[in-house]
Amino acid sequence: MAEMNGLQLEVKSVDIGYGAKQVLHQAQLSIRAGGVHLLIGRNGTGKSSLLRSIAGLQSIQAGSIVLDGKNVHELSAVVRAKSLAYVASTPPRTSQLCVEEVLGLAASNAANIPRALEHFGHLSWAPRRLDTLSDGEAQRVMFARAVLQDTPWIFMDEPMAFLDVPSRKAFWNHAVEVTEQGTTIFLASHDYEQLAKSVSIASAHLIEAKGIVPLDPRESPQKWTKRMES
Amino acid sequence: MNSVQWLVGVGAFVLLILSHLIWGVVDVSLFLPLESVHRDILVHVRIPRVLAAIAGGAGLSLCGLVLQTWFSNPLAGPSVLGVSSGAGFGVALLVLIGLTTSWWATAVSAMLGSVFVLALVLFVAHRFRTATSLLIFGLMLNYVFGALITVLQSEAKQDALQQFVFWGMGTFGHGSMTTSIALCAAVLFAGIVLCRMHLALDAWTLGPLTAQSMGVNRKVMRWRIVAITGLLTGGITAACGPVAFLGLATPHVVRLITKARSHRILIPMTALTGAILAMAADWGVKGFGGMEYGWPLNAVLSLTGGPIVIWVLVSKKTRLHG
Repeated sequence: MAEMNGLQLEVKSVDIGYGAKQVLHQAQLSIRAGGVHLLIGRNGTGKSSLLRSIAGLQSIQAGSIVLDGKNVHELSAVVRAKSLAYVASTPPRTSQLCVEEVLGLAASNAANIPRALEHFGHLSWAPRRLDTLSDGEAQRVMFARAVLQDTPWIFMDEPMAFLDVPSRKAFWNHAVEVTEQGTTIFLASHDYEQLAKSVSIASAHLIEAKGIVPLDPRESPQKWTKRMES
Repeated sequence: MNSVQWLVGVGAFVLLILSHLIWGVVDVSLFLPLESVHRDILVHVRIPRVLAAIAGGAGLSLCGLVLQTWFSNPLAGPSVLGVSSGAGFGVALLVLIGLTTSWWATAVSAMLGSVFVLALVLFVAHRFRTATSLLIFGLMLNYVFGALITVLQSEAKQDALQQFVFWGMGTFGHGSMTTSIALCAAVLFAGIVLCRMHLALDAWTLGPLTAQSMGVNRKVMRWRIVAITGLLTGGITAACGPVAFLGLATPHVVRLITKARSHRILIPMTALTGAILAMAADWGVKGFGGMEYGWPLNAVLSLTGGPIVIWVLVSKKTRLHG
């Protein structure tokens, strides 16, 4: 599917920073489409900044980020929304919209909303306002929203942070199902040791010393942790 | 929003229009043929005043709704963020220095003032870590423009000063038919533009990052909000004075009335409720004073709007992070 089409994400010599403070310098990353890809790193190394930049939501200081042959920072908002979906680390807590309305904003086909909600959460959540859900429930709604956006790529920043253990397992299963339908998932997570037990990781990347280091996805995740500690 | 609520809203809207047209210092019969004196009263006084109230109420309320959504701040509004003060300074520059009393000139000056302030607020807002900081920034802008206006007042001639003080009390009764129609047209246009943006405004409630990832163009949306809110606030302030509370309070009144939160419903409902509140307040102005130019509009609005804002503040639903 996507892999056969040669679609890929390329981060080329990217600098990301906030004023004088540089988070990433000359960072390089290449991912072929398909499967679940993992980004790890210690706190404050720039995982969230990188994911936001790859999603075209944060400007970069130098270099370029190319998704399926197109520079993400040159895409219009509408075209970008058809190319990728993004799930932030903290779910929104708005009292403005109910779950069904949130999902309706993203769904290219409204008929898919009940199935997605049942799949990732519970149908009874549909009329509830987002701020009446728990953080974990709201995050599952946001994952359903991203899937309903029906894009070839989904970028997620710590999607499991608010999930209980059964919900995490369900999330991993759903993530695999989504990738089997042709969507590529690239996520940052501190829970990678558990994730790697349940999901086949297509590629893993470590942010250290302002750069991105490719890891061997067949390697034990404990080794990645030791590398981080060193 | 159910059909009964719409029916009640539209009914109240029509009744208020008719009541303002019929009753006043002189009661006017709307049955044809109109007496010439009644026709003159309607054309030169009553209709411009009702149209100004509809445009002022609906326009400022829409500005408040959009600003509350954009800043995720239930206490945002044109008067809170300094936008009305910027418009007031624009008016003061022309009136107090004695350059012109033309509504069109003061309207342009007020629009420039409000657009400048709103652009300033929007472009520095990302530097504020908390919603409270934004409100304090707006408060400081109000102080700065208030001080500048005071300086201009201290240097102004007596007749200009009198004219400015009268304007500052606020009224829907100063405009001509032309200015009132122009305001209504501007509010109608802004309402249509906002209705076309309802999905983007809904998405924005999920946060800027999520909204942008769903296809919302932040820059385009920001400039539209600057243009709509700045121009409406400027035009309405020039015509009606610095009208208090409507922009801040009306969206909360709507949220009290209806459970709907989608902007598809909120936008028309806020415009309708704003117009109703403005016309009701204008009845307070006429009724309390007992004459066509009675109590100052701002006094009536502050007495009724203040409790609403206090309710918003003490409500458990209000979250001002930080």
